[in-house]
Amino acid sequence: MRKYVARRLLLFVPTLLGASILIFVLMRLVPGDIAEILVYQTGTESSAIQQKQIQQIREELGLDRPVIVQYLSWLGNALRGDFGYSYTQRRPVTDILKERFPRSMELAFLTIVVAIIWAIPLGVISAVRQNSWADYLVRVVSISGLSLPIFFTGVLILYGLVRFFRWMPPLEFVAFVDDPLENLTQLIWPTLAQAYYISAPITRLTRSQMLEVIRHDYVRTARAKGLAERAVVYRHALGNSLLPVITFIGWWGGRLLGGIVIMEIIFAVPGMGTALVQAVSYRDYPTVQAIIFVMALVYLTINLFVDLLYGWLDPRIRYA
Amino acid sequence: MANRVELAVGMAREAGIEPARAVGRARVVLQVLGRFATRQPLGAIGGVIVLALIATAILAPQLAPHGAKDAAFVQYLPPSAEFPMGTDQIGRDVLSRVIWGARLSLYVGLVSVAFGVTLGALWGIITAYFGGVADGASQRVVDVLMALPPVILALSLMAVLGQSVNNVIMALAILLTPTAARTMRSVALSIKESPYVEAARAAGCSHWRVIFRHVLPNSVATYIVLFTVNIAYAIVVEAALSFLGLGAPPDEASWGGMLTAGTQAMETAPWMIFFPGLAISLTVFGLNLLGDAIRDLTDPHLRGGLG
Amino acid sequence: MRKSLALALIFALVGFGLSAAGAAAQEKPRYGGILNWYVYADPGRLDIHTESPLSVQQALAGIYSGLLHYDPDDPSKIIGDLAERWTESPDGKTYTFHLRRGVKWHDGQPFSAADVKATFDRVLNPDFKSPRCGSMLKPMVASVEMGDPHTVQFQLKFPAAPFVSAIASAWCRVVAKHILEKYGDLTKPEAQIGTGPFKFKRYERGSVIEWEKNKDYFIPGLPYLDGVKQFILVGVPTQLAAAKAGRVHIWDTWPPMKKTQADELKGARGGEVEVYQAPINTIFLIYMHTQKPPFNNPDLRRAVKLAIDRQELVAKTLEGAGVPCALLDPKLVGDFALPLAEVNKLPGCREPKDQDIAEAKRLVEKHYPNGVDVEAAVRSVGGYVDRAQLVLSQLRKIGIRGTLKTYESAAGFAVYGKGDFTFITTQDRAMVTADPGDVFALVYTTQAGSNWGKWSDPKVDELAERALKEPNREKRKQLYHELQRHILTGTPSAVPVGWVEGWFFQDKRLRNYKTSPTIYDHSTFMKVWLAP
Repeated sequence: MRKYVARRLLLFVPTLLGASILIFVLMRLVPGDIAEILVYQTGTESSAIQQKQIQQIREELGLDRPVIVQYLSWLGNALRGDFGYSYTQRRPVTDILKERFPRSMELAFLTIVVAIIWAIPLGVISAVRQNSWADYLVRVVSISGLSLPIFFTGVLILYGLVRFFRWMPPLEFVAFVDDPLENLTQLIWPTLAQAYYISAPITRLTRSQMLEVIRHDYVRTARAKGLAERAVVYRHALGNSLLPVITFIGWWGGRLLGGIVIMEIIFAVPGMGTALVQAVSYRDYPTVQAIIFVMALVYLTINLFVDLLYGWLDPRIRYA
Repeated sequence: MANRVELAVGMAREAGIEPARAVGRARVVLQVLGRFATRQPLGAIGGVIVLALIATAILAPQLAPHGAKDAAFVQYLPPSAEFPMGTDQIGRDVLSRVIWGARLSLYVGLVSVAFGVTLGALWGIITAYFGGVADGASQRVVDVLMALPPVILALSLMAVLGQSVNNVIMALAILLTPTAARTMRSVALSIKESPYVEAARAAGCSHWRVIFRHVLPNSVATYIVLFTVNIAYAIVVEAALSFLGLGAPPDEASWGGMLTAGTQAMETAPWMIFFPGLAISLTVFGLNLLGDAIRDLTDPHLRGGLG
Repeated sequence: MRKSLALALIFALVGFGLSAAGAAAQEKPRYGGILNWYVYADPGRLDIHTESPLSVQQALAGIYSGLLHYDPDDPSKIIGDLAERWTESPDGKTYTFHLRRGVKWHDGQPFSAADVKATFDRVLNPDFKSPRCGSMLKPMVASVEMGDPHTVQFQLKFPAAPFVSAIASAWCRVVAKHILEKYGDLTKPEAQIGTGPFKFKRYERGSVIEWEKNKDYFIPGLPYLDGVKQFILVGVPTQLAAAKAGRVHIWDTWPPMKKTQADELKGARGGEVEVYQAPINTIFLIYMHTQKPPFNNPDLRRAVKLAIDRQELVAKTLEGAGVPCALLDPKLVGDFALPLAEVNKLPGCREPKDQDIAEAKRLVEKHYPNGVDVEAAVRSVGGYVDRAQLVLSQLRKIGIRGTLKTYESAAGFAVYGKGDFTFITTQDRAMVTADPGDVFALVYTTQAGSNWGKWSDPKVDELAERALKEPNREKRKQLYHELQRHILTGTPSAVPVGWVEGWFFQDKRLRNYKTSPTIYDHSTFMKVWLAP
């Protein structure tokens, strides 16, 4: 087990570094930089002045240094928790992160919670009454959930709200700590759209795991012992089915982050996703770098946690 | 493990990989299809939907009443006899664009998956087979690529490459390669340790012979499942990219792009949202059903994991 | 019993009606209330001298005062703001501004001429990047001097007619010397200390910007409003939804509504809002690169100029809200513009178009008998892509086959600025002042910042320069007429399709709000009030 843990932890850091290098390089391959954008967008100064100003901005921001130097400098600062200054907002990127990160994480958390509450019971029902009409219904519903892309579901919800309830996106974002009810009202819609989508594979996975487990000996033994059906199902079968489901949620974490970007855009939630899209558009390298770094960190951390949990729960690994 | 190999080999045999007379082959194919339909009714429905999609894509010039970019009509017309799905914000026929969109989605889906999954599969199989440093290094590369949320990686790639249909294909292919590599790697690893391969190596077969004779054929089943499932994924990601404005150029008939245009005029012209959205959903639905059925039949290893 | 009740009711109603009518007849401004509106993007950095997007202007307009400004009661006039009055020397090269007394900054510090000098020294510094105020003033102003603590003098390099409009621009606001010394630059919210009718209360990024009433404003009795709240609403659907739900009082920002959206709004809110069409001092241009084939050939440029159907573009893509063909809009610059009757008869604009299209085809065929393929750039913003398609379909008729290449919004400007294009299907340029010289200085002279097609015509440079320095209004007008004719009948790299207008609305409870000649100048809300 110790070897397993060590190995997992050792892989974590290089992967994170690799991801940061990848994004660093990709962003600099994107045509145009902030200097050009800032100067050419207004287009009022004469051409000679424009060139001078572009050069000036690049020097100010250190964009005229070799890419490797820029990366190492960024890395050195990042390790001390300093992600630099946003090119477009002229304030520390860490401030932007502190503002936006909790909002996106709240959305992610709510999405997972709602998805689990909805999906697991459905999966259980589907497994316990296999091949009944209930089972087929659940399977069709969950496949359609998977088939409706989240941006379509999101737009449909938006349309329904606007058309039938005269609703409109919240004008000011209210944090949970300020007004929990208002906050939840604002976030419920993007949550529902995405939760519906990710509940589908959770339902199916729960179902298939339950099916496998239900047939096992110990379940039969428990039944033979005369335990109530419900106890059998919930205590033994469900408990052992949860493991792959947890792994799955960890695996899905990556896709969830991408989906959150889309949900934030549709429902105008000022989170990391909207900040990222804007930053990419303006070539605000420090902000892009930091946000993606954080997303990769979150994703890898969840994966690490899930891997460790899996290792601990799987007797083959725990006692290796 | 052995069961799975046998099953895969058996299925290949059933599908007529071994020499057989032409008539016999056709009959066998029909038998396989029929068996498939009865064992997996949902899969059969999926198959029908997918066939309809393919037919629409191929026959688009004949089926679509107008070109995808013909802007000769009145804007924002609601659905009518002349324009069954209405017109959009510059007066293009939505029905025609949905039909042409099938061609775009299928083209993008097929080509990006063909490149991405195939390259990824080969990468995964070869590095798994030879093992060692190459395997370790490629695993790290895959890890890094998978550490970034897919939509975000795709967005960044599109920003670098610029908006065009072919660049979307390239970006999607890059997106799909790591997962394919990882999945096929584990398949290849288990095949590598099978008695067939041990016997072949003992008998003196070269590495490449073993790969071509044993590893590849036994990976086909998983490959097929990966392929089918990822087509749906590729189509959705393409639509998402177009929805975010970084996919196919906005004048192309991309279902995702049409959806974005629809959100700009949600109350004036809701049909601009419904029809492309339904098209995407139906396509993905069919592909998912079909993919599920194929997976159920061939590869319990992947059950409930992908999609 | 019932009868008398009914009578009482009728008297009450009549009485009420009469008093309401009476009230409407002489409305007294009402104090109080918060104006809700929105800004289309997060401003990010708040330095009014260095930034250029409209979003920054909106965020700060009511905070600062300028030496001069457009009269809130009659925006066609320029009147004193911090300056009580000003004088111009007979040779037109010296302007003296006499400043108000007793003006205080929002932090209580007294205002004086030293602040004005510090402001303009900053803006005019050659190393200081000021794409709005700086680029307007630097060519004209030689120096700024303080007389006594209440007088400032500007020495110009030549008698410059646009100087007064430039100084009145919302981008040339006066900032505090002590704030500049304390913070260095003005990007932070804390540095937003001005002398305007509102104080900068709060900036919640991505969410909202709030102003509160400045109780010590130098005009007693103003402002009427208690505050202004700007929600940061990105994307037209969100903005429209807010308007329909009655959550904002006004739409006078970027982008304007299109007719279909205006109709939707009218449908939703009916008599509560006043919906109107107004010019936004923005010109719709098509660019050709003059140093790359095929448009390095003037014949091809002429062909495009002849073939573009400006009327169709305005009718379809602007839904009729625009003035096709004009290089200067009479609505905005008065008689400096060529009369529309004359403009509409010029080749490229005159109808029917058969003759012009045939000529265009001939010009293309002369050099490219099989037609020519061209890569057409467009930024994927708003309705630009839709416009682009119509433009390309018009050009197809004369043998120019364009393939659309879309660029992300911000990156697109980098491409244009670098000249990495052959053809730009559409790009709007907004003017900063209402001076007729603006569009030429911005787009048509050789050194113009938005002369992306790198066009160089010495006659244009000469006429623009002379008009800039001509003190006599009538002579100036003649120069601009000559300049317009020269460009409209020539082969410029930027074809003017028309001046863009848009649809806007005001909540009927809003009083005394007037639109200004430019999109940057009408958001101080100094004299605006809300009826109950």
